[in-house]
Amino acid sequence: MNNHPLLKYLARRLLILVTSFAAALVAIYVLLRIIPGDPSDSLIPIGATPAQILAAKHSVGTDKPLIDQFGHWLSQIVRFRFGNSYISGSPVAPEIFARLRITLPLTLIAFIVAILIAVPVGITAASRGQKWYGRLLNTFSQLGIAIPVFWVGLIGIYLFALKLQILPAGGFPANGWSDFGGSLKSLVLPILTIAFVMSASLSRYIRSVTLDVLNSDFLRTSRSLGFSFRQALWSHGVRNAAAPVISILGIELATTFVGAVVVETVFALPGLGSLLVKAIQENDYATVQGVLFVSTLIVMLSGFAADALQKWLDPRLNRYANEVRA
Amino acid sequence: MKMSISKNLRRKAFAAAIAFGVVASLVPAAAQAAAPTTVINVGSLYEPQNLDNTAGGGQGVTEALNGNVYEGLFKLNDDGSVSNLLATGYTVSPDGLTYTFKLHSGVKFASGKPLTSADVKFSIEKVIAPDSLSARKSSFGPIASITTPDDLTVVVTLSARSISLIYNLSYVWIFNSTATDFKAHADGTGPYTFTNWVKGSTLTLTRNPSYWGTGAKNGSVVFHYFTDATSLNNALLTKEVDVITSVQSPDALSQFSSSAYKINNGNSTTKLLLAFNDRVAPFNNKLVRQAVTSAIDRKKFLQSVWGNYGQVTGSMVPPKDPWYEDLSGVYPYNPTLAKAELKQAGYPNGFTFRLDTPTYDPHPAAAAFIKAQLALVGITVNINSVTDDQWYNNVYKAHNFVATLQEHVNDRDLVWYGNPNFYWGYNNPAVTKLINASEQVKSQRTQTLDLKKANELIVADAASDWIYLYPQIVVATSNLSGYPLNGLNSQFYAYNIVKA
Amino acid sequence: MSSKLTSNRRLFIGSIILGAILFIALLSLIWTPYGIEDMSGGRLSGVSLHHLFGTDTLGRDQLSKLMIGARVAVEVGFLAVLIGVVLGGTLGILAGFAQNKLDDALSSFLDILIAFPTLLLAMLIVAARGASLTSGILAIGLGISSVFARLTRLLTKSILSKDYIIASRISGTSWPRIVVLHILPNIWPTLLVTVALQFGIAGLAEASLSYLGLGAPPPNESWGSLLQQAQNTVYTAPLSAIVPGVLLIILVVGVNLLADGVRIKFDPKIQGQR
Repeated sequence: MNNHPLLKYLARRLLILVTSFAAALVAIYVLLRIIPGDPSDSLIPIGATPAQILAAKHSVGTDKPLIDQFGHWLSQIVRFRFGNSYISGSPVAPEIFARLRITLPLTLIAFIVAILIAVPVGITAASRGQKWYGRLLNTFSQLGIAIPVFWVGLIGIYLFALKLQILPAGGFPANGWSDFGGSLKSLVLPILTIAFVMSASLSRYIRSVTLDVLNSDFLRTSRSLGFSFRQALWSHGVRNAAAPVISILGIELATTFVGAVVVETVFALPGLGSLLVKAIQENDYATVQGVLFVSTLIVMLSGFAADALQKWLDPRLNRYANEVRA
Repeated sequence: MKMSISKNLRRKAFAAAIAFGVVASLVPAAAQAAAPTTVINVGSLYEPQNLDNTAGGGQGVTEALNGNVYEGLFKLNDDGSVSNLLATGYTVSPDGLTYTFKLHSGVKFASGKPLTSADVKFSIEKVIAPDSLSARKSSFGPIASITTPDDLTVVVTLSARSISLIYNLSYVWIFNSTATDFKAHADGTGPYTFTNWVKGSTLTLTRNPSYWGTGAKNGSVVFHYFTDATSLNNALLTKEVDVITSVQSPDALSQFSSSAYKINNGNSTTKLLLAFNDRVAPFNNKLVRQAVTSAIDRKKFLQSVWGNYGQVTGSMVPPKDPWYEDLSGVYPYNPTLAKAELKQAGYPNGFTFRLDTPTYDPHPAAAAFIKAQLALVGITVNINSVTDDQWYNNVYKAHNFVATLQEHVNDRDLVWYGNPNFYWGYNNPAVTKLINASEQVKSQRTQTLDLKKANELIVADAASDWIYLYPQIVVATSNLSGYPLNGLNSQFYAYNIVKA
Repeated sequence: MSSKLTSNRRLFIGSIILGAILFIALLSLIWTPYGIEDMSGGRLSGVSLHHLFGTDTLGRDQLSKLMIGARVAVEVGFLAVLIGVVLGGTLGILAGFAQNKLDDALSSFLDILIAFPTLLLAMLIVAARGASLTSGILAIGLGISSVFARLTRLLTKSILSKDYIIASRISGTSWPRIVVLHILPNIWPTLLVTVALQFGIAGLAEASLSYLGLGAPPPNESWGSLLQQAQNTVYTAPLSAIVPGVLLIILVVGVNLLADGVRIKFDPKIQGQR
């Protein structure tokens, strides 16, 4: 097995990655400034005089021509300097890292829990689809993808926080992770909420893929060639099925980073999603750009990692002979 | 002989015992007077945008820092009165143009720097500076100069009389003139020091042991910030916070009806307005404004949102302003009269207008209610949902609107009706004259009379429709006491709060 | 066989549910028990003969609001998915034809597009044009189109690699004809399944938007808006917080059953199980 084609492929992908990343950053910059609104708007009190309005614009630098602003931003971003928030005046980067300290554990753990639930549920629902428990699992996953995620959160709060009083209803300890126990407790319900919804959709996908594998030509062929069911399943079933599953997982993980904002709102967690939402509402361009920089980077990296993993598992990826499932 | 000696002894022993008892009872009191350590957790929806109230800190920075970390020369009390704080007193020249303030001695900032008159001069100038974003800047227009003859004296010279100067000064925080970053750091003279701010989550204040006045009765205060009312309520239900500074709906209150909680119904200074654009048709016609006001049953709407809380005041003036009077009876609900007035004004078949409505509660419900009510008299309302930013740019700055809904938070803001360039464009020269003159009078009594007169004119003109005054509902665990009950401009003094 | 029965049963149940919701939605256009501006019902009055699901804090009839919610759900689902299929499908087919470098670039681009949170898109659109039903539909539609783009790209590539396509090209068939003759007929079953699934996803996305305050104002309140409004009154009027959620679940389950049924019917590989 020579790795040169793989390395060449990865190098090419990396180049495209970097170019599209840069293009995405510029697109975000332009998009933000096309939308009506100005960072200084959030700073103005009611009863402000026209002079104060101008002064506010000056304080955030939006009274300068757009080209000047763009040049300044470019010179900063190539040195990975995110600048200061237009609204709070504090540096953007430490704020993002502080939020990541909550969003990263939340997303990663929820993801792992979701996979741990979804894989056995999906496979069982597929292979034992005729048995009562297989059908039950199938029904549960049908329901699971139909419930709005904030509903799940609200029900969880009602049960575990308000009625049983064993978990907090929301918020995160003021000292952060130095209150380790408190921090963990604050994350239990949010993790379960995300994992519940994610595992429902993942299990349906895994069930579908498992069914394909169970009925695929590859499997039949390798069995007829004398491989045991297990061997056949692994060498021809899973490896073929893994490719689309991995890419789906990559995207799911990435979207949950900023997509967890609904869960963050329900549980009052200071995560990356709620920072983004607040920054957009306040026209805090510096923060929005900083957050999108990080989240786009994560998306691309996980896409890249998924790609590399797929290629390594099945070098014949360019043959689209496999079934494609929605 | 023996008995007298033992009696003597007994008497001495008795005296000693009493002395001991007195001393012994003092010891726990002394121990109590030594640093309290209770943590008070406060739940709020209003997170500061930054820590500087002259640089756009917002409503939240007043709530967290006013009176707690930063102090002014004077302070606004919970009942609306103004008393001395960092100033021990002041004198005014007979022509009312020179104010001399004396400062407390021995006051230090949390960093240790002593308070001097230079800090006061710096702080006032920060509010009136060209780049100041303070909401109070225009009220200090009459200030001509500030001098500091000595470390504990500040002299402010005015170009015209300003009866509200003392009241306005209660909003001026005294900053440390040698500090540099006011948006991210706070060094004040107050009973608390600013400890930590985890954005989107908590803001922590710690008791200042070297505070110049009576120290705080608790060890620290942690503000917990939420973005929606349900999470806030849940936090109180699970005791993660001890008190909520303002509950947003009465139905949620039924969760707090047990004896474990106490519900307090105070006065706020927040009004919900249906603001007409008095410059453009059809609302440049007084008769039309009167008709619309008479066509909306404000009491019914208040009840639908707040049940038995809140009140219809009929004007821009909340009860805690000195010039308050109940004008809700001037235009009572009368749809028949409304229809007649519309006909008289030249709109027998009604008309259609666009209502710019903010997206957060209670504005959407108010818009729906108004639409339904006005439909009964033949007026069609098109509800246009706007974001804060759109409202600010289109309505407030560009005056590009016909009518809008908005809440106004400040007290003593009747004066905006004296400015024809304010967004609603109300222009009555008699009112403008009265309001401008009221600032230059010699006594508070005259000011009150003048502004009452102005208010009556404004209400008679139906300049806007003041739908209702928000209640200030503070809910706390029943073992908590000493918290403020009225939400004057969102301030929340935390230093008297104790847990039984 | 059992599979046929199961497929038919799913199609059956799914169609019934969707049909019922469609019927209510259409009905709401011409009649609801009370007008949306009729506030005569008394604040939070409970279940009664006059108001089968009670009233809200303004005295409006809940049943009428629920019916309008059905209309909004259908509107959002239909229009958002339409945008998704047309925009995304076209992009995807075009991308399917791309080779090598252009192909790699486009697939990267599509991946970023998919990962761009719909919520963020919705916020930007709301910031530009205000919160309304159209803003929500646009945002969700754009989000869905990236899913369809990716799907159609993969499908197109799969078909294009087949031998008979190459033969067809050699014999001189133009690309547009190939699209119409070979691609579209082959991808429409999978597309249909995705359409059904995304219909439900659109409904859920709209509910989340409403929860965050970005949803349509009255009179276009969706079930998601009703849920958000009901949060405060959940202790005094629990029904108002349960019914819209249950209806949303029923809609999504119904649409998913329909999707499953369609897939079983049309996918030749699966005949013979389930």
